[in-house]
Amino acid sequence: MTATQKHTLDPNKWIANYGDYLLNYGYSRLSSREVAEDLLQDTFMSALKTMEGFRGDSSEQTWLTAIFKRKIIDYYRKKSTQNELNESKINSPFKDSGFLEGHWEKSRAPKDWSDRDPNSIHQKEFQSILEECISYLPEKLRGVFILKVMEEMESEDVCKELGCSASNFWVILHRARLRLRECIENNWLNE
Amino acid sequence: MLSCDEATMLITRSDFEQLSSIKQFKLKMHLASCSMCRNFKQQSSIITSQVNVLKKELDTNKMRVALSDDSKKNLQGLIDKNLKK
Repeated sequence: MTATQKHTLDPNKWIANYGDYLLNYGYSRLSSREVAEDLLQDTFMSALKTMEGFRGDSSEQTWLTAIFKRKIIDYYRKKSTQNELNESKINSPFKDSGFLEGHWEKSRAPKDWSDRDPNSIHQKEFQSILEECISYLPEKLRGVFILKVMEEMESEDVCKELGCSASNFWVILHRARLRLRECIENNWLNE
Repeated sequence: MLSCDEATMLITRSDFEQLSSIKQFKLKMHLASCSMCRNFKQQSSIITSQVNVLKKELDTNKMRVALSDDSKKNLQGLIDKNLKK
């Protein structure tokens, strides 16, 4: 593309051209088809309102996706402030007292997965378990996990957006990964 | 000596940022004697790489869900209405 070529917007083709793409983008980050459809609608409404400011530097799809990403961040921000994370201790897989405090509860310790390598023929199966387990994460944990691991945002930016302190950020991400790991293991090795 | 809780926390951090050399050393010492945390470390990297596979599927146009005809009509109606304004 030369520098003089600019992208243009054609709202009448948005649904045909990007509807399913954007729905899938949202679905993979929100774990809910219903929420993804709601936010897709919001995305189109915001896009129509701000289309006069579109300068044509990015493609239509990139521009719409960026607006959708904003909606997803806002969604998780609202969820983060709504419910405080007070279940951190209750659901910990570590012993909470005694000489071995902070060490794995035996029944919940990570097992060896090497007999079932998810990079091999089992990948499809692993993927659907992964998706399901992400959807089980409480929204506060899921928001941090999605923005950091899937969107690959900087930790400081995730904190800024979701309103958490730097130390709290690592605690939340850590809890999310512990839960995800355990959920996957329970479904993956017991099949 | 680190507890497993502290060690796995450091594993999580080390996947995204550089640890100080003291922390790296402490983690190494712990992992040398704890197979459960070694499993955690391996699983964490599997999960991160599989999340990336999930993400790439979308870019190669593998769709998991699709808009229903009703949803499309509904959305098109909203766009039409707002375009007229």
